[in-house]
Amino acid sequence: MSRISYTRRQFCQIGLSGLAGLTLLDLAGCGSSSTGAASETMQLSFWGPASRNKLTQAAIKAFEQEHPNITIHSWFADFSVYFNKLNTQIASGSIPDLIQMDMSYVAQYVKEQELLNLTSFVNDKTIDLSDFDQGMLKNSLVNGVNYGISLGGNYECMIYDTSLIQQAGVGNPPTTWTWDQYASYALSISKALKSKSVYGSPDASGAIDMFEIWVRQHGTELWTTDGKVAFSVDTVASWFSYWDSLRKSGACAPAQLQASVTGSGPSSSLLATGKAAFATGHSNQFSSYQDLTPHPLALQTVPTGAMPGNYLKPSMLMSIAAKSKYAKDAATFINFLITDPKGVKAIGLDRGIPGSARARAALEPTLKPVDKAVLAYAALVASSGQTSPRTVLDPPGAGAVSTALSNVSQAVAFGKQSISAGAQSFYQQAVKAVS
Amino acid sequence: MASTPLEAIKRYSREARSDEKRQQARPVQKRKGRATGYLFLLPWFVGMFVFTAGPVIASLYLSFTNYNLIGAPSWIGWQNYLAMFQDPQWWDAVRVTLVYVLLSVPLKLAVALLVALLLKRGLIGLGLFRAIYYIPSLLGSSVAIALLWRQIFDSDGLVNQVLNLIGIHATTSWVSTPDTALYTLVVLSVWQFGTPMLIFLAGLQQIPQEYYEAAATDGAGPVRNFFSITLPLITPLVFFNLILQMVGAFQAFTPSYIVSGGTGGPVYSTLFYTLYLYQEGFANLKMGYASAMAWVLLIAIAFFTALAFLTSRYWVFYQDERS
Repeated sequence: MSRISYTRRQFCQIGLSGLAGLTLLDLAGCGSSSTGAASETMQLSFWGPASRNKLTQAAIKAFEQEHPNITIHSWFADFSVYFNKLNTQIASGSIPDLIQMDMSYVAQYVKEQELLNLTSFVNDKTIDLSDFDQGMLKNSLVNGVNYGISLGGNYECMIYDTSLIQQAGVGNPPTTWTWDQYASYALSISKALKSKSVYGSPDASGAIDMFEIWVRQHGTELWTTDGKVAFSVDTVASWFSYWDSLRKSGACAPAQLQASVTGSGPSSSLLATGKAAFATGHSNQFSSYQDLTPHPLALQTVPTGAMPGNYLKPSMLMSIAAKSKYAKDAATFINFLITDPKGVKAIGLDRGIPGSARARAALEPTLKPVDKAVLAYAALVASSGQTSPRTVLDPPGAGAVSTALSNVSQAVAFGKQSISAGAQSFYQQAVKAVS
Repeated sequence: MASTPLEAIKRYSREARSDEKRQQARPVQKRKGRATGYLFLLPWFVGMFVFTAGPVIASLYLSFTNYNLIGAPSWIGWQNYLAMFQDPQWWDAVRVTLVYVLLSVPLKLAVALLVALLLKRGLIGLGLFRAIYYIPSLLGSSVAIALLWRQIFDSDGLVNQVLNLIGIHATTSWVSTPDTALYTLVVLSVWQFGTPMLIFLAGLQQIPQEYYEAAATDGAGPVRNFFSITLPLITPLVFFNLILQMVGAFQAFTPSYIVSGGTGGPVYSTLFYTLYLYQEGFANLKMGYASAMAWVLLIAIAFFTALAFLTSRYWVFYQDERS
């Protein structure tokens, strides 16, 4: 046996070399793909699941066949990391020619002058908007200017599990309903399915899209036209206390259960795990929800309030980089996606309901039952008198506000914060985030 | 007789010193030898400067700027550093991280030492057990394990099923309750005791058997043996493990990121410092603020490490200083 004989000096050396291995400041070093250098190669970036990538690749292929001189490379990522990736690429000095943009982020990129003003392409009909839904178009403008064409419009919706409703024996929900009716309907489901610990409603108090509808029904938008907070602390408090009453009665999922699904999107909903009969989301998510469960799902309108709350949300803007060398070709590609039957059919309803009338007509014969349900829902909401166009834009920082809502609503749900303290805290965080 | 890595280092440095003496006699050869050496080091230097030193220095500059990744950074002086102290979430993150470090590091070292003591006794199939206990250290920081952890500590997870079997009716979802979520991450960290355990085991096996024999003659029992012989002789290893584990725990990211789905929830209860840094930098685009946070973390780690080094003279026992 040899003896242990470490000297203090050796230990200092080893300890320091351990410290030298620190790489925590390397976080910013994440890699990114770069644009190809060939003369007619464009890059496209978008977010979404693998199924959307498949549809997008089909559209690209169809486009490349018509324009053999153009090659389009693309990358995609989940929404939660898409903008991180995009920003890292931009920080490294390159930018995709074609960028899928979200309404909550577009203002920031316009401010940084990364996006191309599309007005001239719209005027010379490279991008043909002659039969485009005017409301959807208007909702997508930034300071009255077109910086991206929406590939699909969506309405906020509720989705429910028809077999759970049947098991509960509560009958189908009415075509339209108030928040109170929704609460008592959800409660009757919770009561009927108590033995299976299924709740009628999820706790949606942390969902910014539902909160926005609540706010609009109370007479304001989320934001003022100059990008400040427009809702009041009282409105936040009323929202929290509505959900508090649902939690207390057992109509919606308790805090712990709701906290057990993390992240966003259909796969992290209580509907998908069979713990709740309802979910809230965008109408284009309907088929993704349906893919996750064997139970047939149905669409249902969002509860109504004193004023119209819902609106046709322009989603998945297709923007062109201000620095793109192939702006004209990029515009041609956008036009291909929104008006050319080949492009329209390739991407389908996956990104929402197309704005162009031609596109909708071209899609008609190809629709599957889930798609038809989405279109029927959109038609129902559009004619319900419960919609009003949204003319304000999400200011830079709006993303942080949605995180703040989900965190504060959770604190309230767990009883870590009172309703009034939570309302104050969320309001202040929102003011700070967009200042 | 097997030699420890440390002895190897010692021998090597002794040889290196005598090499140097030889080389001093022949300066030309010395220079030539150095050039070759640096040539071989070149790939490592490139990595070091481009991927480590460069970003570190850049982050120091960025920490004094307002930088959103897309636009150009603009100089704002100390504002990022001052803003931190008024940011309630930053304080949440500091509190969560300190609790995590203070709980997970001592517990992990204790478990590692305990298992090392058991394995030292010479079980049948020692190598097998060593491997088994080391496996969590290899798997522990992976995404799969973090996901598995959610399942184990969920309301119908393994923990509650076991509790139900022994008659305790438990429906708590440990990962989704703000009061317990952090402790599940502490358990996850303690479970990965393999690396410190191996280091302890190596140290234990080098304690001369004569000491124990002498102690036995004097009538010392196992507890007395442990506190009077074993523990003092391995304090250098305790110190070494403490530093490494502490530095690692301060920078823990994956468990909280995966188990909380990137939110640090429920209700900020698992908002590790590095996770908040990531959120601020990449989700909220406050890269300047995030850089400042990284520097504060670096200073904090340096402070705690220095503290450990300063106190070490009172509790770390080196054999060569016995006189």
